[in-house]
Amino acid sequence: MNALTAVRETVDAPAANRRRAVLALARFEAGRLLLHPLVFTAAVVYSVWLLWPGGSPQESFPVLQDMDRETQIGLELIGLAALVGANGAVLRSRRHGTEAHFGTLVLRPWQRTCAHLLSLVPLVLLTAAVVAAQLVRALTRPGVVGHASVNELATGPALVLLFAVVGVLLGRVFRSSFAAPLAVVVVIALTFVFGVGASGAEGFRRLSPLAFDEGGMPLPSHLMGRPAGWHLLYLAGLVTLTGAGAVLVSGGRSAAVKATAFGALAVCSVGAVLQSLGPSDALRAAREEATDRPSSMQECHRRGPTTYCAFPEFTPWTDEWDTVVRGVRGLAPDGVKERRLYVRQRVFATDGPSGPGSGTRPAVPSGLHWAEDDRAAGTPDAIAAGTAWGGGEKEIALAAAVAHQLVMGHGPRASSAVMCDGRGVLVFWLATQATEHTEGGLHSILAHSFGGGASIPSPADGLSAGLVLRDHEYAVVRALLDRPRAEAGARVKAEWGQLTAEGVSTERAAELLGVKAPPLTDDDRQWGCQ
Amino acid sequence: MIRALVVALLAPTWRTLPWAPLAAGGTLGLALVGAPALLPLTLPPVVLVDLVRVAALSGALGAAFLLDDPAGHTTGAVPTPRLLRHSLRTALLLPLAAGWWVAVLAVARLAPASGAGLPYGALTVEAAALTACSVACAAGVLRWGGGTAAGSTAGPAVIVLSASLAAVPHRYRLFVAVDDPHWADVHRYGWAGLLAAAVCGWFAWSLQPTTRRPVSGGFGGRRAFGAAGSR
Repeated sequence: MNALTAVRETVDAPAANRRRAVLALARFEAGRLLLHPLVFTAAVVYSVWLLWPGGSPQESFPVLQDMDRETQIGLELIGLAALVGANGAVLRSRRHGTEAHFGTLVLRPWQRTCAHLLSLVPLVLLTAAVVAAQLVRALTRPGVVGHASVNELATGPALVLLFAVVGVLLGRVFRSSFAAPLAVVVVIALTFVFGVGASGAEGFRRLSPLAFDEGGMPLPSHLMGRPAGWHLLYLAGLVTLTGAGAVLVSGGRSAAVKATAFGALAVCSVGAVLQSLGPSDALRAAREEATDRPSSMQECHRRGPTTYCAFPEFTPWTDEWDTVVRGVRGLAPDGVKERRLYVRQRVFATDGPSGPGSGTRPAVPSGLHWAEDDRAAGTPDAIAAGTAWGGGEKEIALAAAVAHQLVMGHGPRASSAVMCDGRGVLVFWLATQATEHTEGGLHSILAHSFGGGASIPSPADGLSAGLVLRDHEYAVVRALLDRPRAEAGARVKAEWGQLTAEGVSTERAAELLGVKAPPLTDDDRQWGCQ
Repeated sequence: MIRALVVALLAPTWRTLPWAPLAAGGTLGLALVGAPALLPLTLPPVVLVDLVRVAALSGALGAAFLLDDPAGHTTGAVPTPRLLRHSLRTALLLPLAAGWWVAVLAVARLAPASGAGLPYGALTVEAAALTACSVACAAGVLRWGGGTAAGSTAGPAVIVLSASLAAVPHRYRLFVAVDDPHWADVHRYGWAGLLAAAVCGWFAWSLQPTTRRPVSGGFGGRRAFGAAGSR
């Protein structure tokens, strides 16, 4: 034995050195992870998608209690990229045949695992910054309403962390790179197939890391029933359990790690059980009341002759609604335009964990006590308004309901009112002229509808009746839209009495408005007129 | 000559197929489509179609490892052309993949949803195209990246490809819903075109390059065993 081959007696480096080595490795791996082709691409694509100009007009009127969970889906994709990236980092030394060299370094395998786990922190912080930026952007929109949930906002970064930690664990359990892509497939199946489509097993659906509740209109935040806090606890338990598992598998079998794993398992189970309990009885009762008799939960604000009643969170939209209502009123003659009108916000909240998520709902307020509730609240025959706003489609839906009220003196009675007379022409024309966006809104509705005729949906997403015209009536509307607005407006004001008389035919209305009605076709006769 | 070579190579190629990834991908695919029947869980037909697609992706991921050959460095120097080696591996995979796919569709039929109405033909074209892309990608990685393990790059690449095919604007989307009016066109032109392109890519990248890049160049040169591998 000489100085070169002598075995050093201190096999373990001092703890402080080891800690520094772990941190140095973590720093290095963190940089590699951020620049991993998949992670980098996913982050760039997601950022571009977020910053892309345009988008739906409803983005200008974000509802924070919906916006918060919409931050999660994009981050799940970054998380899946991080899963593959972290897995590749753990397996890198094996892939390149340098595993043996690590035996000469100060770090044991489990300490290297700890470094890999620590290396995920910068990416998670980065995703948290992205979520914060999304929140700030939503908050600075002029039409923002509602309340964001911190738990929902934190779920996205937690997903990224969970998936990346799973990548580390897989790298320690399976010494091959095929485990990570297959894990990605499992996650995709869990979220996009079972998480979205499975009906029945609510508790099972919530076990998926990302639980969707899509499809319905936004609800007031006090009616939201998503167990976001318990789900976050469940995710935190999973993250800790997976991380502790990775350390255990790579040889760090100390009592502290084992205790952490057991504790995490307990936390995870508690979260899983509590998140599957479903909404409380009090919440169910509140939802029924909000659906059936919303007046007790709403605030009313008067703007001129119109009173707007909405859930308190949504009252900032009152002036937006009023712009549309005043637009319709301005087209009516004196004596009509001052008529008292009431607009009341409607929700359908009695279904699913956070509202109308899973399908079944009555098409129209059958069985609801709206009329009774409206009379009791002093807002008879209130026009329905929804919980989503922004863009021509929403504006023309409200405008059409207001126009119907002014022309007919009451709201639509049937689930979908087919208007086969001159009054239908008038209602549609008024609706298209209410604001500068409404005519474009009608064209965009018609662009993605099929079948004959023209329809304008309910302003409250199917909770009240939409309006339908046959091709015969819609042709007159189109002819009228080709006329100068001022001329058509003057005729409407002058002939209002005759145009709104009961039984005025489409031909007569066309004549009064100075356009021609096409002949009635067989298709037109097929419609069941109201 | 070629015939004798093929016969001689069949058994060793069969033995050296990457059984673990193939089996893992196949088993996961079967488990996914079997889950609704086992749990039981009622899925709407649209979602069941998506589930079968995810199973196809799982199988395609297994196939991404098809051309992985730990002994690839030693076969680079033999006179047997790479096209023949790749063809043999692919030919051995085909009957296995076909049998597996029939099993996936059969299991999907058992799901509580209206599985009988699954568009079997269209889904088969999708699965074939995905698998072909996967193997072509692996051939491309071997051709351009060097080394012997293409799956660790080709697998994630196939996931990225599938994600982009599902996420691009509707006009260019290949993963359309089963009730989409463009369903037939997308399969007749989009998926079939992708399948044809993948087969062409596989062929082009399986050809042995006639010129060698210098050993120090390219990103294969950084690998532990150098770039003098299976080119």
